[in-house]
Amino acid sequence: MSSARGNQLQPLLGVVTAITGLSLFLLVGGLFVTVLDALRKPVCVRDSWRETCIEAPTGGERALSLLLHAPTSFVYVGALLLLLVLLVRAQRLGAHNVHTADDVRGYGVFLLIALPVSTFVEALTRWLLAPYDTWSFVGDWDVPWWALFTGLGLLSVAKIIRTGAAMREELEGTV
Amino acid sequence: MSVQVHLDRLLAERGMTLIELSERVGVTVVNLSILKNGRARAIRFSTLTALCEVLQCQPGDLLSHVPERAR
Repeated sequence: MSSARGNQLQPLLGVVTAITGLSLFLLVGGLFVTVLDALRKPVCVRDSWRETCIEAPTGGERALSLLLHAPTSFVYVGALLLLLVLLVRAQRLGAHNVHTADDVRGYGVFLLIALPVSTFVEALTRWLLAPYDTWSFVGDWDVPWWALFTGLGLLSVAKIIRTGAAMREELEGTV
Repeated sequence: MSVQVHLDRLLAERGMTLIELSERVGVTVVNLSILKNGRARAIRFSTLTALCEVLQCQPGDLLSHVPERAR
């Protein structure tokens, strides 16, 4: 039974495991390089309209420059980690399970909130470092529509899994 | 569950074991245990028919409804 469940989630589980490992490695490496760059190089901001460089940034501006790309990177790796946890638990407990439905719902909520917030933080950081107009950060906000639609889709999938789990329980209790 | 299964009583009255019933009805001992212990959520007509044929009883002898307040 458990091997059949395992097969159901392959090759996705294997691919996600490999990509998550690689992403964690790249995140740590990227973070190291970003911090080094933030300490040495001028802070350059590229928004929807132009590219601005601050040749002699203050400590605050250097610290703020870390938020230019880091939030989305962390959210992507976090999303991969969450997906990995979801898949491992689904493999252990079974795909048609109330706990799996809860996990899928949680993942949907994460995608709905985390990625839009992270891209907004990045837009706001670009605006704080090099303001173009009063509300220009709104126009510069690259809304991740795919995450919103995927998140909403996952909420529906969670409901379907929950219904399937109830049907499975009913079926298992039928003599 | 407000529907009670009287399989243990019927088996005792007929001097039959669960294993023997399982062999004659064609339902696994595990499933019959689930039914006997009141953990079943549903019973198929085919299972009910086979049980009634082997135990020489009516469905009403096997199942009874107990109102929740009376329990």
